[in-house]
Amino acid sequence: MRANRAERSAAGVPPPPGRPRAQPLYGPALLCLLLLPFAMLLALGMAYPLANALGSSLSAGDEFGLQYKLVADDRIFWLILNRTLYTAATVSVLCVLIAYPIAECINRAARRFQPVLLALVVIPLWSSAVARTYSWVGIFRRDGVLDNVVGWFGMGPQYALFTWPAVIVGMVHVMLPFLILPLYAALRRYDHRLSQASLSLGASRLRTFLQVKLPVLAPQLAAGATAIFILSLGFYITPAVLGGPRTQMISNLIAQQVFQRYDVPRGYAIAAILIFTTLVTLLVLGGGVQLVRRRLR
Amino acid sequence: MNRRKTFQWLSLAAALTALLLAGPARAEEKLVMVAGGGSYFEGFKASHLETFEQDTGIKVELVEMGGDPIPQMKAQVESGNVLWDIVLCSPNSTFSFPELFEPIDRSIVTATDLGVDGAIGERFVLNDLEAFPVLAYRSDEFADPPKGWADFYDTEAFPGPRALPSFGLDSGWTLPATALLALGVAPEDLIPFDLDRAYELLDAFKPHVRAYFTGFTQAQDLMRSGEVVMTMMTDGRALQLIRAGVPVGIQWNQGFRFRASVCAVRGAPNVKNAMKFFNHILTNPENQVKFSMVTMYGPPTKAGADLLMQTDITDFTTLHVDELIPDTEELLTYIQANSDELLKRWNAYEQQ
Repeated sequence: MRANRAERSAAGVPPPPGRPRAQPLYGPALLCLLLLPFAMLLALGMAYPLANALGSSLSAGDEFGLQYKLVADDRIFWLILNRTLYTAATVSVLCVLIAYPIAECINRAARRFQPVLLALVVIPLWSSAVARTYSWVGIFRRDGVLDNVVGWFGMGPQYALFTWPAVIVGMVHVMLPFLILPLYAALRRYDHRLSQASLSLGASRLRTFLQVKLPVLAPQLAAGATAIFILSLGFYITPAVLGGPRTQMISNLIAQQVFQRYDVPRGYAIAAILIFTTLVTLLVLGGGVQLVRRRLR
Repeated sequence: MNRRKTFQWLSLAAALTALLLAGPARAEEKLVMVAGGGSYFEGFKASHLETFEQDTGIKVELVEMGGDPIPQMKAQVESGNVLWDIVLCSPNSTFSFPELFEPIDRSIVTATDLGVDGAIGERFVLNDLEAFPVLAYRSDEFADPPKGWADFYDTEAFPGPRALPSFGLDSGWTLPATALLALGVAPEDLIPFDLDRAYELLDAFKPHVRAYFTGFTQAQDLMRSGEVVMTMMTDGRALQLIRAGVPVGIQWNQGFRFRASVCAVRGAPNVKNAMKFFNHILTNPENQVKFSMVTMYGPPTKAGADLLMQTDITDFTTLHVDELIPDTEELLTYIQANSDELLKRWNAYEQQ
């Protein structure tokens, strides 16, 4: 990377914009001091309760790790974990597919309309996810908006509420802004001369998009999709409101253990497995993204 | 320090002392009650709260909370920082976690001649009577109504799609219990549940289950539209449908009684006031009627039931309490003690 940059500047090409190597403003001692409040907040609000939960999930019961054995022995747990992972993956992929064209449209719209379009994306974020989820109930329920609309085309009721697609729609709706905004920011920074250069050198539009534009946007896309994947893993309200028994996710299972059986250590154990699975998935995904980026380059 | 400053400091100190003294005095006059929102909340506002404040000068603060209060209560009691006085609970919680509840002080809760069995428990006082599950059926579908759970599971003699509740543990015990009753097990012989036998019947019945509902509003929709012809419900929700003119009938036979109760949190700051409030609930039939008018749940005493009969609500749980299977301590503690197994079997059933 460094050699590459040196070569380029030697050839008279300016370094890519936006990444000048900044001189550190603070010395290491001051930096540590400034980070201290945040580190303490993390330690008290995150590390300590997590360690506590992990400890009690391991030690509760007659033998060490019994809770994990009980969870792992339940076939239904694996079924629901599996469902949670593919639901979250579906939501992130759909979000990428929907958010990119929207971000592109906003970026290409006339400058004076852009704030309005952005507001349309941001304003729903101000209302609670619960309210937004319930608004879908009115659309999907029997004789709701959806049934009325398809009725005009002579189709019967769809029974859309309490199904997996309903859950997916609700989750994508809640998650979309988290991808549109960073993508829009990335597109604003994107240097269109790169695409122009590629086109003028005879590359097709598709090839220009795949080999020039996409690699530049890739970090934002990957970061946004990953954030959505992680947030989706923990969804509780949307599957509970829009879904039925066969769309339940891991958090519904945790709620059963904590609120119906009052078995908090068992809930901790399930949560710990979810966190562990998430970390492994992220490492694998991160490795995959690195590989793809290297290929594209 | 000049004179004016000294005066300022002194008055500040005086004000603080006054606040400190006034604090506990004011706390004597209140009572904090946690209730789920919705009609239950409205029911209390429309009934006991006002008269209780008039009679005793004690103001009841309602705190709205959805879901089960037990996990939070546990945290409050264990940390010694109890914020609530009264929670709405099922007797089940007081049997399973007696350490979280104050015993009922019978020198304050002196109500007698209630006419309803088990209205005052060791650690709970009955607020209203409900039934879950009861069998609700479309009365336009069956000339000869179903007589009990055997007919619910008999899809040849009583054809048509059914709906089942998807309520986690509440489904985990009601489904096997009703299946065993259908197979001819007597209510008093239910415990311990023969789960293998129950799920054999439930597995055979499964193709006839059209929907699993996660809330009673959904169950009402299914019955109103006729999408299913029979379901399990609470009596209150079925009675709402009947009052709205939907052709629905309730089979009370082999239904289960549910005692929706009020309890005092162990170590609550205003335990005595809580006990006074419990006695107020049981000795005020007029208020019980007002509560029932809002919630459709049955009054906790015979006096309340008699008074409610004079309104246009003429069918409610209290009238059928002798037909229902009682929610005994034995049954409720059995369910909680075996919740792991019950929940596991039920999840496996509904998830595949």
